[in-house]
Amino acid sequence: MQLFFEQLLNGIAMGSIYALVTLGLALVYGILRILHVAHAGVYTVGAYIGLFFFQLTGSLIIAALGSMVFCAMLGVAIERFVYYPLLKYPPYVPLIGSIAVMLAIEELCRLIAGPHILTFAAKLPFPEIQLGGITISSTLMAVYCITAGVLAFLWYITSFTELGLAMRATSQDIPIADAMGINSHLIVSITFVLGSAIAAIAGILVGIYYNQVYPTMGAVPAYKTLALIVVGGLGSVPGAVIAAMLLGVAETLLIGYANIPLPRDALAFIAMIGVLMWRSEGLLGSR
Amino acid sequence: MSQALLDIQELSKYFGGLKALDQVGFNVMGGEILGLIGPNGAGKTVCFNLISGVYRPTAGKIYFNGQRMDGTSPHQVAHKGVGRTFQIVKPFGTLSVVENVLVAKGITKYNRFSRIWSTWKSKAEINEALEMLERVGLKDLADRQAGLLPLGNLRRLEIARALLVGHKLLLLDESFSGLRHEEIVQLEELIRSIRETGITVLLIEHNMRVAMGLCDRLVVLDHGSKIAEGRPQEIQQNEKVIEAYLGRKEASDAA
Repeated sequence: MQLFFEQLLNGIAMGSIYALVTLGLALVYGILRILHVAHAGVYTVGAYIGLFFFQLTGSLIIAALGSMVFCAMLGVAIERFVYYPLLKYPPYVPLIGSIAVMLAIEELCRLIAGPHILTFAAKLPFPEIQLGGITISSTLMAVYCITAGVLAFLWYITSFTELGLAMRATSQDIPIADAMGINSHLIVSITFVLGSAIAAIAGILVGIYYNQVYPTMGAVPAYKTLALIVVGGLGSVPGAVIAAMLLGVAETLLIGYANIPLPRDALAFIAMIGVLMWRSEGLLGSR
Repeated sequence: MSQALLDIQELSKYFGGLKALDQVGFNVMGGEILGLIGPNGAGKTVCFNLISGVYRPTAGKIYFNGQRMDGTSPHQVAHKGVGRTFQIVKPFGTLSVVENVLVAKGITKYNRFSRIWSTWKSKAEINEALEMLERVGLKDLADRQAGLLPLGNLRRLEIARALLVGHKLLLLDESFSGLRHEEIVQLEELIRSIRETGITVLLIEHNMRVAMGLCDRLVVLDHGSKIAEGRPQEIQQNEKVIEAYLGRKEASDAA
């Protein structure tokens, strides 16, 4: 039983990290209707830049802030120079552009940092908790708290602020939002800033969680998050978060605990195929 | 009526070889209701899209309040006090009716970084939005999801949004089409009351009876060119206008 709870805690942490990466993808799909595959590349860069600043300064806070700022700029650059000029074409054109950016980022990381796995040996400044014989490590606590903080922050922005209202309006109809005086292009850029900064946090957390950073660390998340936004309902941010949490728990429990003989990464796609067959709008999607 | 609020000079828009609008010029005086009419494909909506900044003109100038306005982007045009509705009603479907109005109310904040973080859920904000809804007769439906409203109510919702943006000039694109007779009468009254508050109205209209009854002056477009301009009575008698709507005499004889 103890093993079960430990696995459950790991599953929730896994799900939290999936949620952090998937958020950006869901936000971008919601506002531009683009599959932002390169988002996983931003997440890889986030891990590398975080590690770089950490080795330089020894401070995780500076590492996180530096990485978030860098990734936000990278995200906006991808939006301005790749997606925006391609928006007038059918959706598969920006998708191809996105895949190209993803590959380019991976190769750049390999060229600059080398192909080896780098270690990210940092101790996150969160307390360790004992709960009835189960230990929740400080890394797990960090993943929980940071994810909860990010989700609360996003929820506050979208539900209460004028910016959130403008984001919701822009994601529904760009010409109308413009006619209401919203600078929709600026709103799109802000969306990329938010999503990319969150991806940077996710990159650092994963780097520390597994104690490794490597050029292709974004490859599996790149397609898994695609499956997740389909399962959650394309464009639905809450749906994507729920799908990510469920997947993290399901992966750890079904394959890690119940020993179902399946490759771990297959689960997301089985779920996606199931959703496409029986509930094509996803968990929380409309239409 | 004093000086021209909107001054359009030699305005042209070509799409490839198609002259959607060709050297059209007219004035909209402050405080008047001007109707833009013409058969399908005459270039009326293109003209609206040029004024509201959706398209850049191929040639020509637009002055608003004496300032050059062509080539500015749509959200900047909105910030100058020009509000518009769309021919095909487009509410923010998943937002509630009152939230739709609040999006437009945000116009006072979108340009200021410090105010973009402020809440739209405060009592004062919501009360002001409800007042606007009362004015267009939608207060009872404030909490409904906008996408589920019938067409007549959606048209009113669009006008409410456009009014908050367009405190100087209101562009209405076929707001009457598809409405029942009672709804048309109510909407005519609403537009007259809007004009009473000093807002200038430029509207595109297909329904001739409405256009004749409501507008102070009419501008008639056909195949992208202006063919007539004047009071409704003058336009009714104008031969070019009758030709444009009913077809040329020779053509109908030959057929």
